[in-house]
Amino acid sequence: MSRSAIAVLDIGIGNSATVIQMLRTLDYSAEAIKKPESLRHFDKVILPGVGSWSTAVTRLEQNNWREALNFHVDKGNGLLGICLGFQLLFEKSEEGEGQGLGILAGQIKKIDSLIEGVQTNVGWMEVSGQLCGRGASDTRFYFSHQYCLPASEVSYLEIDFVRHRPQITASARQGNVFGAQFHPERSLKFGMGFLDSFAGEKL
Amino acid sequence: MKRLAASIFIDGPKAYTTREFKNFRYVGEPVNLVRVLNEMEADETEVVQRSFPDEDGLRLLAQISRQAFMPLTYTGGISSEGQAEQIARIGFEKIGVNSCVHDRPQVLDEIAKRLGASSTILGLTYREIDGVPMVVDWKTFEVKGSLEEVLLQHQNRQFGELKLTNISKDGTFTGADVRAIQTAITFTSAPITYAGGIGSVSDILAAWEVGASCVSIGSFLSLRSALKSPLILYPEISYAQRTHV
Repeated sequence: MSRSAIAVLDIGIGNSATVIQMLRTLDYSAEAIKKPESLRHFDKVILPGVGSWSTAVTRLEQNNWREALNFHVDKGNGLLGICLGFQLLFEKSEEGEGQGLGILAGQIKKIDSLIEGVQTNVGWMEVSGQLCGRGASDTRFYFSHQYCLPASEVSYLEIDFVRHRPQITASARQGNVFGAQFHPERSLKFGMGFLDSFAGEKL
Repeated sequence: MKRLAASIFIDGPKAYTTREFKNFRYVGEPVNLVRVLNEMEADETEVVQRSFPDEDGLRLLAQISRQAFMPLTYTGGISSEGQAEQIARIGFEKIGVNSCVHDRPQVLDEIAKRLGASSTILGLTYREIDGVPMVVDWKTFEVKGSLEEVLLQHQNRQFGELKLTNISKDGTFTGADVRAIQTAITFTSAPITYAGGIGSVSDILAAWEVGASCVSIGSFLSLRSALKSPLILYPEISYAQRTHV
């Protein structure tokens, strides 16, 4: 029998199909949702994201996702943002115009403003902290991004950071809200473990 | 950590290896290959096609994306941000732009604006002519300028990675072109993926050692047996080796 149901937002800004496939491989029931009113049927929601900030913000505005997701979180339900979906949890980004969801306080910044000469943080990377790998040394995830949440500016959050680039937040949590800058759905067994932790309430 | 990408060339519903992007040899069904690559824990997979897919092709890409639990790159016939977004919406994280950049270099900026620069890959194919790496169109082989000149032309464009393919070495197992990697590094700060001629783990290490962030393998992935018959073998290179190159 499948385990609890997870909603994955499918609003054209992320890789919902693979997230769903990975959750189903883990024996969770997972569904793509395209309308905010569908949120009320789920305790846990994943917001995947690929693309640019401005495009994503526009899509969220067009369909009143901002109110729906804030309401979902205010009720104590779980939310996980992935990559751009993680960045959208915050208020602003140097990447573009428009307000993020503002569920978490903070601003997304360009990586090369934090680490000289590094435009893109791409590849498999180890993370340090207790959220993702429980401190295991060989746990790694796939990253591909040019903007990030500066690890030094969010002391109010529980975070993991990229081991060899500690300026970059790898994952964050505040209560029932989680975020991963990496792509768990593209991180093989390591990503499966992370999604299982969120879906199975082990985080 | 240095990366090793599995490259799958697709024509219609099937996957092939190539030699100089010709001489197709069937290696399997793309979706099955991706499932095998999941099991082998491939760092990433690149799907390459000659032209932008039709409806059937898009459906196949969607099936591949759904099954792949590693990062995916698509390259083939992209000439607009709309096409790039179409592939990205299927689930491919990174989009390679090849022939189009020679006529319309601003397509890189347009795609980067829509998808983010980290999802945009500048793909340059080249061959050595009189000892100089010369960028060529990968379909017509028309010369577009030296690698140095072309990289300078694109130095202010938005892209997150450079994919460098030595077309003369494709499928030849003759080793990596380390000189071209070294040349490219001096003209771009973007991470470099190198493809062409990889025939051993030593070749992969050599490309990593001179600065390539990623090496892409096609024939070495699927035609390594003594008889050069199709067999998917993703090389095992330890995590320690990848992190200490």
